Amino acid sequence: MCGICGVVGAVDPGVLERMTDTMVHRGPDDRGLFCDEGIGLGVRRLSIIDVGGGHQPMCNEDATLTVVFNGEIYNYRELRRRLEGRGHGFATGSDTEVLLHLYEEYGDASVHLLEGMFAYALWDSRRRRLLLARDRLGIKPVYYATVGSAFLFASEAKALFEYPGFPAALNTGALDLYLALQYVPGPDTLFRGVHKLPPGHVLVAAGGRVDVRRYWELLLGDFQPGTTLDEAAEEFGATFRQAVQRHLVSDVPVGALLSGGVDSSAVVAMMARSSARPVETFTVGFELPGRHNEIAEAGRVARHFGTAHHELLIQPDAAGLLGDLMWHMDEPVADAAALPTYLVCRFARQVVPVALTGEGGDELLGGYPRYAWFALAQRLKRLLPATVRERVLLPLSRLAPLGPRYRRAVANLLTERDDVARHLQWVGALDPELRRQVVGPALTDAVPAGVAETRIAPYFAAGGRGAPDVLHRLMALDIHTWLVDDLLTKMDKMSMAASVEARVPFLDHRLVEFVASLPLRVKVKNVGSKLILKRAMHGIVPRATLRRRKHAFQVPLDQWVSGALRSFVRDILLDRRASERGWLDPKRLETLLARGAGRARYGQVVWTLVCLELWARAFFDGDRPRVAR
Amino acid sequence: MNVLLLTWDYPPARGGIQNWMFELAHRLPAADVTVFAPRAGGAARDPRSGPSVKRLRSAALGPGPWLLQLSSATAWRALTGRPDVIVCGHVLTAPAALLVRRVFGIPYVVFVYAYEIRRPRQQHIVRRVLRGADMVIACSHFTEAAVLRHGVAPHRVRLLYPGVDLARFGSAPTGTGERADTGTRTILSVGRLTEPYKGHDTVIRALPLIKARCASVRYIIVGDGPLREYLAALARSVGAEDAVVFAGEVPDEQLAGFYRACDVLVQLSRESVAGGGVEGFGIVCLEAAASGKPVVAGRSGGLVDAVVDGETGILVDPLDAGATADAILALLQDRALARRLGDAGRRRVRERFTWDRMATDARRLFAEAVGETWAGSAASSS
Repeated sequence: MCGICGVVGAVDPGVLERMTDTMVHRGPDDRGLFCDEGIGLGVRRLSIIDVGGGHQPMCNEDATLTVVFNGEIYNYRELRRRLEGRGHGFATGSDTEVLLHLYEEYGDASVHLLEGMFAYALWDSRRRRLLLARDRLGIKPVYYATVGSAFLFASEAKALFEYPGFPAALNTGALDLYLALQYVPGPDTLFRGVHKLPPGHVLVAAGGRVDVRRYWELLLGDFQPGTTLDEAAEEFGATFRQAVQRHLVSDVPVGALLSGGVDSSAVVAMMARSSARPVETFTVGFELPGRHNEIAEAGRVARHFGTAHHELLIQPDAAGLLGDLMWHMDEPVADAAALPTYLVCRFARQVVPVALTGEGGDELLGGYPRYAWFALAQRLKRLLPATVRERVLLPLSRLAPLGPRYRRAVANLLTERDDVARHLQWVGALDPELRRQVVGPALTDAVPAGVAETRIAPYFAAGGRGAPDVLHRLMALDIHTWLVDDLLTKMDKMSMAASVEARVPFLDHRLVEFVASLPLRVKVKNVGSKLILKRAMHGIVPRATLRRRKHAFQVPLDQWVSGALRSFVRDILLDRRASERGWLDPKRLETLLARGAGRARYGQVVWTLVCLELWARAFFDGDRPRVAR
Repeated sequence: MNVLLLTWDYPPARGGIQNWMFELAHRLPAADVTVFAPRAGGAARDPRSGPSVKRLRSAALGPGPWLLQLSSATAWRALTGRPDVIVCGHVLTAPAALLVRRVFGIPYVVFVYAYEIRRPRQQHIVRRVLRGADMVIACSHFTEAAVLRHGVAPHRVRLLYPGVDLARFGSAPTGTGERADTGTRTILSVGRLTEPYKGHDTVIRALPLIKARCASVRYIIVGDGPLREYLAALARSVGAEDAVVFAGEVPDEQLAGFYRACDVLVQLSRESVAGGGVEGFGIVCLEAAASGKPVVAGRSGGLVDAVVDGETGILVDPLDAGATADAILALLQDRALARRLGDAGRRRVRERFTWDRMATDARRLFAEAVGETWAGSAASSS
């Protein structure tokens, strides 16, 4: 695992060195630079495969091709054998070198042969062109920018700002997206002029032009009609076992992050089957009684599989790390799970440099209860007129003895609104009204409203980019936005902040393609079911774990924000620096903090605003981290 | 010897098994053969010459009712006609034969292909009718192994390959599939687009790699079905939509033309883990070979029997787009190799895979099942 960066155009070696070293946490083991006329490539390396020989940047035999690479190619041994069969000689045992020889054979098309997570840049000095590629699902990040006649790219956006004349600046056009979603979906970022290369795309920079094109897209739809649940589960089980096995390729020890949920338990189960030694597992839990305690659940799974298990208890004061983490996150991602993710990675780093996680299972398998709620809402909309739902059923539902979460779910179910608004109400942070109100005087004219709605609308439009049925559309939307720009960004940045390589076997693209083509009725039935995984893991993962409701490293945000972290939050949001910046309206913030505690998703709303302010401090006020280990 | 052939698959329905049963029935002495087949469409009017074909009407109601009618018709026939052997063209018809064997002691033979005995549904019935048979005829080594796994005694299992209609597919090859005007090379697949295991998806995934080294190439897909939309979307998603041509269903008489006009035939069926989907033999590989074309096939199921790796074609891992691309490219770029494999395939079909050879072997096997030699020799076969 590594951090890579580069410049096509004028570049000074000192600049390249500084760019590279902003990402020292991504690769503490080694640094490499390549500078030639009109090109510079830099890399920080965390050595996982061919620890001694995999130095980068790496060239081919006649030094016409140079590559920097971040990620893992799980099928590199097969590719290498094939290339050797075609007469290619290899100087190292690394997966990086495979990229060079593949390019010699297949050019840009070589990306089709790669299995794994990757971001790499390959300079072809004869054609004077740079090829930049990102893996199919966006597990590894790539940011890029054009500054004058120079093209810049990096694994982390912060590296780009070391380039002369390109300071970090707020992209006001994307602020609405952030406030609505708690992250910014690609290709935009919250930095002006910085873009993300979308997953499954390659970029070619040559002759002053930048050309981005897709090489892979997930096809969601019922392409295997008639498949029964048993058949699907059997094939899923076999494919999943292979995927986990492939993810164990490493020259250093590999462990697993265990949350006690079905997904990570299934990963550990498959690891335990393929490993002679006990698997090293790591878990974190919170100092709160009741439902947030993952530790007991994870402990049960660990005992079942006889793992070497490690537990860590988190106190709310861990939130003090948040400022540093926003610097590492690059873009503000107000996902409270970032905190436990970072802490468990730092904890795991004491034992293993590589860890498998259960990330992506929910998106792949339709594990979110809101999918089923959404489908139900649509059915009700067809069956009952709006007046009946809103005037009769909604008031009646208020009489029912429900907790606040279910009350909101039922209200969402019965209220008349379009698909986009309904979706945003499920997943979003700030509602449209609050977004309008909270933006401060410095920005009111510069921040266009309704950007989030416009961005999401195509997924729900007839003939849009989605599949015919609404559940597949929701899954496509989540995979293209939430998965890439929240979950995977968080996983990559937080694990890298702790210099740990996180691997996500649920996002093995063959597994993803297989599940995507199955009929809905074997994927989603009732609320949050993950039918296939549970059937495939029947008799393997403990029954009690299979029956559990989902909670993946969930943070008790509402309790924190109105309890232990109340003053922490006030100090940040009502600080003089924040009001001078003028992004957010201080009066609105005061009202929100004083009287907002009852509103929907209050914890998430506050967290989103806190993360924005801490991010601004890190990138605009020069609050650099003393993080991290 | 008096043969009663029970088959659900029979022309005018189209398909490999239908064709096989038709050729079998017509290459046994006409006086000795009776065929029980489903009634199919209004067009079905069987010729007066050849074997006598009895069409059972209840096919319109589905296989269940048809099997009931078949059982009673077979029992009546056993009483009145006393056939020496009952030949089941498909496991589906074997319960009728099993019943008659129990009651009248008439031996029966079952043809098996692949999917029907591998799929998880109704395994116990399949096992019972296979174990009860006097002989089980498998169409490939792969299927033979699957039969043995059902617990059938090895001495009752025999191998019999299908044949190819040389009159249709065996005309002399007319050069390569390269289009004179554009230099475009042609890859061909032939098969229904109904089951994902057929492997068209892997070929499409290989296209960007093939185009990287052979810019002007097209992939013609003959056959149609519900997967067409998926394959078209897949081609778009990998940026290869301009290279894929969906030719749809092609009438029998035009099919030979497609074989003649291609550079390489690709048949990448794989063994699906669940559901039993697999290629039992892969007759299209032989049809292409008869036309003098080399084949790239998946190393799976009966395809291993249909293609001799390195002699008549190249076998690859059917899930490996990279290996597929390399194999196809090897044949597109090395014309001498393509010709050598194509010629060898053509010779092999002429020597080994004619319908006459199949019929001769079948007669020998039927006689063996009954425990006697066939009165009247191969001379009476057509």
